[in-house]
Amino acid sequence: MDWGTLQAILGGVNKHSTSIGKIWLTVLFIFRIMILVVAAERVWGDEQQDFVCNTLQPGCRNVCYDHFFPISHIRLWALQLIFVSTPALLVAMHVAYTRHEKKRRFRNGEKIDIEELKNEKIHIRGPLWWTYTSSIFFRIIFEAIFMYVFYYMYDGYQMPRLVKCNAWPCPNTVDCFVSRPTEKTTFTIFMLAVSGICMMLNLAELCYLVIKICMKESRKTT
Amino acid sequence: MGEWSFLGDFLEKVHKHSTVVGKVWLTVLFIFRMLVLGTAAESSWGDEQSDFMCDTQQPGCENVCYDKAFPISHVRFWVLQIIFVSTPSLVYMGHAMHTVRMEEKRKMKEAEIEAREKKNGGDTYYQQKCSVAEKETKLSGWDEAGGQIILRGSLLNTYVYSILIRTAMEVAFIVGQYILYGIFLETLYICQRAPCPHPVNCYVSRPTEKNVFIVFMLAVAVLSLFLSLAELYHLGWKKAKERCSRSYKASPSTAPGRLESAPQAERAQMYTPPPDFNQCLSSPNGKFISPFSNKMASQQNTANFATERVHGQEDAAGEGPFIKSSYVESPEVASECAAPVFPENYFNEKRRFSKASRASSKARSDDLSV
Repeated sequence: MDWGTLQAILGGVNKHSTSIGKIWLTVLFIFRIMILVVAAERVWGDEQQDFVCNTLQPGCRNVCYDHFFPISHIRLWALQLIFVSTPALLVAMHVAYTRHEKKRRFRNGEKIDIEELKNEKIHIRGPLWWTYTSSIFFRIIFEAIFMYVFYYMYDGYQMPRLVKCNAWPCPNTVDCFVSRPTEKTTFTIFMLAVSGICMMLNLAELCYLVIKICMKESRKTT
Repeated sequence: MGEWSFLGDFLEKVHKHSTVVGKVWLTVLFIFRMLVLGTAAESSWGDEQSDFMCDTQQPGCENVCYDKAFPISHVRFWVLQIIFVSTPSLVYMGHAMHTVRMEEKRKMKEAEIEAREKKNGGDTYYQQKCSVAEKETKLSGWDEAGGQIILRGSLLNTYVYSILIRTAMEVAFIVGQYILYGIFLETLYICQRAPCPHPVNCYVSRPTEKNVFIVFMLAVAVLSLFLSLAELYHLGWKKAKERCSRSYKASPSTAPGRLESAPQAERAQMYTPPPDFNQCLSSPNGKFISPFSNKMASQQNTANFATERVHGQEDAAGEGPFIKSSYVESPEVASECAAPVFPENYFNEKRRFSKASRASSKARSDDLSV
């Protein structure tokens, strides 16, 4: 999986984020994407090959694996990372649109703050504030949804060592053994913890933005 | 190895703002840990489960025995170790970036004040500039002359805490590895766990090769720990030395700005100045030199070693900030106020130096004779 493209896109968003947003981005890249690519993919690499069932019945192992792992953890995490990063693209699009508008107005002869245009530093104000805030809100929602999906699909966050399978064509209840359950549990809990941290960061950023705008409004009225 | 580029890019930035020992530590991390892990150790542990053989036909017994023998694989353990050990440096880098931003804001404010004063009339200009500059330079860790961060005040504290946490993490992981696996891997592992019907002999794949890498990674971890401790000692020793020399300095500094600046100008000409700090702000997508093109790093190291030698002689003076990441001494702020003309020329001359320029000790027309 090539995460370099995502890094290139999100790197641009980094410039227009708050400090907390930058920390969130760093945590995302180092503690989630990197761990996923470097470590977790190897751990789950042989999950179907080494899923062993105590039966000689052909097809039973396949069916049992499919029954207990409808979608692998790795793929779910990849989806989670993509969904969680996507709202930032909204911000990037808005910033690009704003800049395009400014250039157009400048060309039409209106007086524009040239310094701001040159520096490419766009402050989070007005409609951009709404885009940014809603992007953070959606990030939080997506994180929560995926954390719940993990919990619901795998009955908690622990990987069982033994699963009992009764699906056809298995002739009776068959013992199936998952490969590397302890290591998988370790990484599941690690990724869960980092998701939690990211959610906290997003909540903090949201509070920070809301408080800042409230203080600005109160200063304007007084 | 492209997978490590996420972390590698961040650590390149840290590389620029570390002390010499810090740079050595980072190089050790890149080459002896990340590179070795990514290229050699991964392939050695590649077939660890497929070639883990147990002397039984019981289905599932091999799986559970492997799980019991290796709750977390060595490779994944080392990946986590590298990430957790690098994390404090990222925190320090965040603080350094914050310092840079504050410095930029300060410069903008100064420019505004200058513009305002020019409108109103320039009598109070220098006084205001001096007082503002004096206050802000003392608070910030920014060196006008070299364009580098000086480790001082809160930034130094962050740096020291990051090294302390790094040291604690190293120790924790080394101890953790010992608790999980001991030091060496045995060829034979005897396993008794359901559904294995009785104690079963299980054979680990490639134990000798794995032992070689385990010992190697352990040695590198101990080396990194030693480097971190050396860095702490280096910082602590400098601080103590600074305190001692300050306590011996009974009389206030009588040397006027001009006389002080001249030897400093000479000293400045004796070594190549480090690269401009603003380089770190320029890249649009945040990508920097790949971790393995160490040419710039070695150039930087040469410059740093040269400046350290020079400063070993002048440390007895006890002036200026006590630790400089690029070891460029900043002139006293008082002198900047007392003689505004000369230091500005001095700064301009310094900025014209290129990275690769050889220092010349020729006397120049505007050198002051002391």
